[in-house]
Amino acid sequence: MIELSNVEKVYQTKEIETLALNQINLKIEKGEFASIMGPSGCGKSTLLNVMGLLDMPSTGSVRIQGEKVTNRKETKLAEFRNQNLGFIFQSFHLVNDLTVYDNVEMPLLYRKGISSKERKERIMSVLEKVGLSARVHHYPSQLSGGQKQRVAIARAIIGSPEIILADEPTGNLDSRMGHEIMDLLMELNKEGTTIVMVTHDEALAQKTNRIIRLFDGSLVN
Amino acid sequence: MRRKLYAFVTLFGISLTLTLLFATTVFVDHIFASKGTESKFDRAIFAHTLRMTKRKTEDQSNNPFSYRFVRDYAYKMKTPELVAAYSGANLTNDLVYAYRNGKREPLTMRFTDGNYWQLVDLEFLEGRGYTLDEIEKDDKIVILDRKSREIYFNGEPCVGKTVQLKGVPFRVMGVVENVDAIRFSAYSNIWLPFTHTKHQEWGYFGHLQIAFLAHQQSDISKIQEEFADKLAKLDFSGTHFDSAYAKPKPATMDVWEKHDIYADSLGQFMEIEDVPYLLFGTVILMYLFLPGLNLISLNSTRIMERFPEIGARKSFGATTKHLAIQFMIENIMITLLGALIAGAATFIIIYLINDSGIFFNSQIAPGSRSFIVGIGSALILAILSGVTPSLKLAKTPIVKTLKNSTK
Repeated sequence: MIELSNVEKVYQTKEIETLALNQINLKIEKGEFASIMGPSGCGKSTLLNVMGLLDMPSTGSVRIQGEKVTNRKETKLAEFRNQNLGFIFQSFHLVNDLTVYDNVEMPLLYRKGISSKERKERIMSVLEKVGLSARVHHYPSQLSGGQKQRVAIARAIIGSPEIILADEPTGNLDSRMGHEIMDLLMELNKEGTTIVMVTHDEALAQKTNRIIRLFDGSLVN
Repeated sequence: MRRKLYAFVTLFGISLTLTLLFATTVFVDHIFASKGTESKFDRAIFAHTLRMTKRKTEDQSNNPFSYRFVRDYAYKMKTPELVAAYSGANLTNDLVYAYRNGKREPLTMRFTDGNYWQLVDLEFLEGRGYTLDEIEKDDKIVILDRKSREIYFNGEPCVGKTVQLKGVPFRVMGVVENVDAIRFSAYSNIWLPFTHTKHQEWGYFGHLQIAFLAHQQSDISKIQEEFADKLAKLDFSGTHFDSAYAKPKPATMDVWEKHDIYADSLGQFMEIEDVPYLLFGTVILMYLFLPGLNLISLNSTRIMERFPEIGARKSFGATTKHLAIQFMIENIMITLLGALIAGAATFIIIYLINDSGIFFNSQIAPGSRSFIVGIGSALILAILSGVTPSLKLAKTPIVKTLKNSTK
């Protein structure tokens, strides 16, 4: 499903060169729920960003669903992300000026051929799924942390992507809410969605099918 | 709350900037457009001063024209539809003082020939203007404006009655509506035949400016050529000089023509003929530069405030083009909203100015041209102020926006 071959990521400034990812060779299979763990600054988020085509590797290649995607143009990458990937961020990244409905609708706005009627049906359906159908017209500032992350999950799944990439989705939540979000992700995984999640929480990682450990930008067996 | 306050401050700033722009447009249009009493001025040109030079010694003198010049040269021109001569209405010179209820009222006098009344479109409340023949028969005739009639005749009809001006009796031939003070060729309170001026005439120098009315705008250059030809054939006998220069120019630069001497001298120095246009254009550009810069700054800051949502939108499929278009449309919409508020504010400001009477009889009326120029300028500024920040922001790498927006 996701295949990284000899991936390296180098951040270069005038003074120093930092190797964030070092010779990563990794395969995530379809339907897998994998978690990425490691100490702060080891390259977990960078790895997730490279998998999600939010950032390009300095060397190496990324294949998703058998397609090499690292040499594509910006518009093609945007289209690919829109069709195949969903993202969940630690700090939610909801647009504060938009309602829950409008935030969830965002990925569909960049997809052609979906009528407003269909959009509405899909939005109501995913909000039902994440338990927020009563909050359609609320703004993010009117929601709790857990509710915001549910909106973010609804936004991630509205386009029915096969892969969800979650960067510390429970990092800003208390334990109870964290477990609620984790249950939601596991349910999505049971329905067939491949999920890769960055986490610091060993207990949550243990609930996933596979733990990928990183240290100083390299995979640890 | 912060965003609402920010949006309010931005909209307020944009509205204030555009109000300044709109008010300027309306004032400039009011000053330079041919309208009201000067409706024919778009096909008229004006010569205000004659420059005479003695080449050998470089002695030079700049003055308005004498009646002798008007009679012997200007009236004899064939290309203009009409040649009119009149003194400049100056708010401090050529005044006569009238007394009403113990209060001294200064009234401006303008000295004209008979053709002047066909050049300007003054609204006669009673009577009519005088002709050159009437001046030659009996020059103790006068035209008053409504204000003068109120002072001298308590507002009662007065054609045929006599009014004393500086101790001399004049017969009233007509009364016109008060004239906007900004109409430099039409404004006055009292109009008299040019024969009554106390100014001395000296050869071709006197106190008159000359207006040439063309049959159509395209004839203007022909009039200028004929006038230059007349000057070239000027008889210098009995004068101190041996060359003369004057060029009739359009009324749009009438304000600058008031300073013709300086402008012409500078033009000679810089070898640029249209110095008034150049100077005026530069002043306007500089004046608009500041509000323009302010608008660009406000819009840039407003767009940069949207930084946090860039990462989210791009993650879910937005391209640089999508975002740049979105920000540009928002920029145009908010600027147009600001333009609506500014339009209303401009109307209120103009109403207050008109009501206060601080510009004498000026009744400034925003016309469709001001509206089109105002909205056009707002749109251009909206686009200019939006392009750079929109593109810059939209092109920012996703990871960078995601990292920054979590701070």
